[in-house]
Amino acid sequence: MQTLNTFAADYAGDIDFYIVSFNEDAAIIADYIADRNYQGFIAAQPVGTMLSDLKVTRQSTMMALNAQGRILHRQTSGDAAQWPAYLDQLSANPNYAPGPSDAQQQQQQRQQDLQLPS
Amino acid sequence: MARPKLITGLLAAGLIAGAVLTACQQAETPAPTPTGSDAVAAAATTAPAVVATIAAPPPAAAVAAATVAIPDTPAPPAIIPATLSAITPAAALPTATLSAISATAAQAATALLPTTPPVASTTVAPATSVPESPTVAATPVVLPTVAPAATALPTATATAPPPTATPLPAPTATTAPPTPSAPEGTSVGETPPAFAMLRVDGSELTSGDLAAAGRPVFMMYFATW
Repeated sequence: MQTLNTFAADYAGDIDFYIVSFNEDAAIIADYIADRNYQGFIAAQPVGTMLSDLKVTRQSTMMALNAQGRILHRQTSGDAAQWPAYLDQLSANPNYAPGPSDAQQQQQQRQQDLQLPS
Repeated sequence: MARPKLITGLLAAGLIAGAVLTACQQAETPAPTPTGSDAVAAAATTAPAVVATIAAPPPAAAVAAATVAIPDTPAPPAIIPATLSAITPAAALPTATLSAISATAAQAATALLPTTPPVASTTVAPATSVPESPTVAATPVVLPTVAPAATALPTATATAPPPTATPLPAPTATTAPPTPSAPEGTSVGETPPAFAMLRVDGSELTSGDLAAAGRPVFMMYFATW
């Protein structure tokens, strides 16, 4: 989240950033954000089977949806430094959709992430 | 001896004169009118001719067969008096007599000639059954004619859409760029299944709300521990 804070404010006018608690109340996440003085984040908690429906099995999982709700990029863990490239695409075109090659490449990356120890 | 001869001659002359007078009186008086029985007896001699002329007009083949069969069977003598009794009083109305005679002739034909009706029925039955089968076979042929009509409909609809399709692209191009619908899933390029989140203020935010807002969304699943 510390890395995200470095560039989230730059897309605040175009993209909404949600910090969804993994298994905690949304108020705990809000306090965590306030304590560290992070800017441009909205604290929330999942309702129902959201995590299992979206196949979110690890914390620090990141996902970006375009304006139509399609998944543009998904990262299970790791460094968030590569995200500005995808956020720039969404900022320029909110309906930007990935091509088949991007989907295949990210599918392979997702499989590698799942094999890493938590 | 001469007187007896004279007397005999006078008597003979008187008898002759009486006979002539009687003959003259009979010739002057009118002939007695025939009674009903006499008319029937007189008509009986002409009855066969009348029956023949009346029975001829009916066009039905059964009546002709009845008139032919009557002389061969003993029944005609019983039928003829009945026809005579019907004809004699109704001599002024030949049409009524004709119908009565034709009816009796038809009954006699059906009673006397049982072999003739079956032949007619057999000839009629195939005539009715044979045309029915072609008509039944022809009715299924009508169905293919309906199918071409159904195929003709798509052509009509295909011609209709162009006017409606031309105005549609213009508004969609102005509002949002056309994008193909994505399948549901959790991989890149897919649309995730419906979900809901709860914000700190207690308000619920669904995936539908996010899509309706028309803004891209970044989500990070995080834990403080």
